[in-house]
Amino acid sequence: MAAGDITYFDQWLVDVQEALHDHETDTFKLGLITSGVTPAATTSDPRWGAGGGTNLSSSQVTPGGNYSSGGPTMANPTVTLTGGAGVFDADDVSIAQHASNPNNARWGIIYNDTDTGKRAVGFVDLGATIDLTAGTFSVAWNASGIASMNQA
Amino acid sequence: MANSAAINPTAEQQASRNISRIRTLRACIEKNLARGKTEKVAQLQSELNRRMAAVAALKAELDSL
Repeated sequence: MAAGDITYFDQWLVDVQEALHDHETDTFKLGLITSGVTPAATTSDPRWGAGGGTNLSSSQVTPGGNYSSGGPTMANPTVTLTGGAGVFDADDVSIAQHASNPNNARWGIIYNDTDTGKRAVGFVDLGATIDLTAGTFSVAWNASGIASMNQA
Repeated sequence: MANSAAINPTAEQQASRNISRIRTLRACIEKNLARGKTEKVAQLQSELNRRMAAVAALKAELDSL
């Protein structure tokens, strides 16, 4: 994997078909976790909290500065039909530099904060451990959105 | 299906992203207008305006060269 690569959890593919997410009206967040855990597509029932198979929030970076517990909201989620694909997209995420920001973020977890179980969608490979005290941290989603589903 | 994001994007990546996001925002506004979801439309329009301003500022800078 390379920095910025998004991997969807296998469980999300099931959750979508069980209508457990509304990608346009639910609130999605990007929680940051340390290298203490390495997420994979096969991670068992991944969630941001208890109740599933894997509680990824237990590896969250220490909140502080401009990073609040749970991570920033991915505002204005949208679902559109684009070029024959159903595209889930949202506003980009940015955390301004602050001396009290976490300094050991390794993975970003996209999860549904509206869902009672806070089921996860996927994860972003940050490429390396990132020190958010050193500068603004930004994630710009792909031109094709965060996730796209097509007939192929 | 998997897409890649840009971590700490360059100005070029951000410009490209602004344009693609403008496209999806417009499509989603059109969809929600048809469904009468005015609150959602207002939220999306605000972000669309912000992105449009960012692109316009870049264009103005280019035009001034």
